[in-house]
Amino acid sequence: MTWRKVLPADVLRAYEDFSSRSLARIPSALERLIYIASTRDYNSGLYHHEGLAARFDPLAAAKALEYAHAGVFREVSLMPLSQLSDELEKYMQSAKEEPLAFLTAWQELEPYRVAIPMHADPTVAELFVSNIKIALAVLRYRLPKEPDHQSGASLPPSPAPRSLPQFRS
Amino acid sequence: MIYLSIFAALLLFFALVMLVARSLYWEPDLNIAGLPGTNAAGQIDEANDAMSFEILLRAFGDDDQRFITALGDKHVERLLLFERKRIALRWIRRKSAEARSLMREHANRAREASDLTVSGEARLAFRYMELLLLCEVLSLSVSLFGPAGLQKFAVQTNMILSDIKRFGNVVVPGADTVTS
Repeated sequence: MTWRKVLPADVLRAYEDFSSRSLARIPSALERLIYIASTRDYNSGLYHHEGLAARFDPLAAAKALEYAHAGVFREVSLMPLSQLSDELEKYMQSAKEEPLAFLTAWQELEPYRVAIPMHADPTVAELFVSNIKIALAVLRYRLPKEPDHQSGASLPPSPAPRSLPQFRS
Repeated sequence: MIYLSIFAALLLFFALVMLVARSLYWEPDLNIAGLPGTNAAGQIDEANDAMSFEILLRAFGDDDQRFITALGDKHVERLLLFERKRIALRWIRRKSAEARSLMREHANRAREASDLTVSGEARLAFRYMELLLLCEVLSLSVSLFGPAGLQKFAVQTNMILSDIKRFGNVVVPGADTVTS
């Protein structure tokens, strides 16, 4: 990515460390995106990663996370729908949630919006939301047909709240 | 016959009014404030241009259309058409806004320039009109039929805009391109 050329040296080092230790272990771009977004505080918008902040200057670590977020977000947003649908399906399976409940929650609550970087290009952000909506519709269509699949109105009860898959650096 | 002429004149007048009204509308779109090293303008321009082109390929390309058609669900097909139209129209508005911003910037600099050439200015004005016209035609086509199959026109629009950016600098040396 061209942005890499303009990164300060300490941020670049932190970014490369984060990429090789953490991101490289996560198989799909969508999961990488969700993981990086989870390092951002919802209230302040600041990024924090314990391991990275311990090894580098906390500000450089936060900038590296922001940079990584922007890169992965762009990758997911511009991904072909076929690939995005497959990645979303894998993520849905890894979440170990009932597929119908997962799809209903994602379509109704749109939790994927929190994965959008704060300073994302508005058109790319719209493309991301748009593609996720279509990929969700594809997954819903692929579900084995049951009488009430098309309505999607009710949310089946979930046994316990589940968090995102944990990846450690 | 006279009624037809009056109708055609009214239609052209209406189109002109629409064009002028739209040119007064300004939509700031790209937001790069939070990314690192925003002082490296050349590299930022390069990155934005590359991203804009990738958006174009995704919004106007037919890979996704083929994938959804092969799926065989009318509801998903309609959703794809609706969403792609929205993205494509947004992209066109953005290009049009970028062109207007560049021309405004150019006009400001041209007022103070001493070595303007008529041929250069005329060529720039012609390219600008060509771009606006193409944006209008593209908008109408996307609204009516959807963006699939219009990639060639979108690429052409992008090329004309790049031309205007480049040529604006040549016509008035020292003019910076606008990173909008």
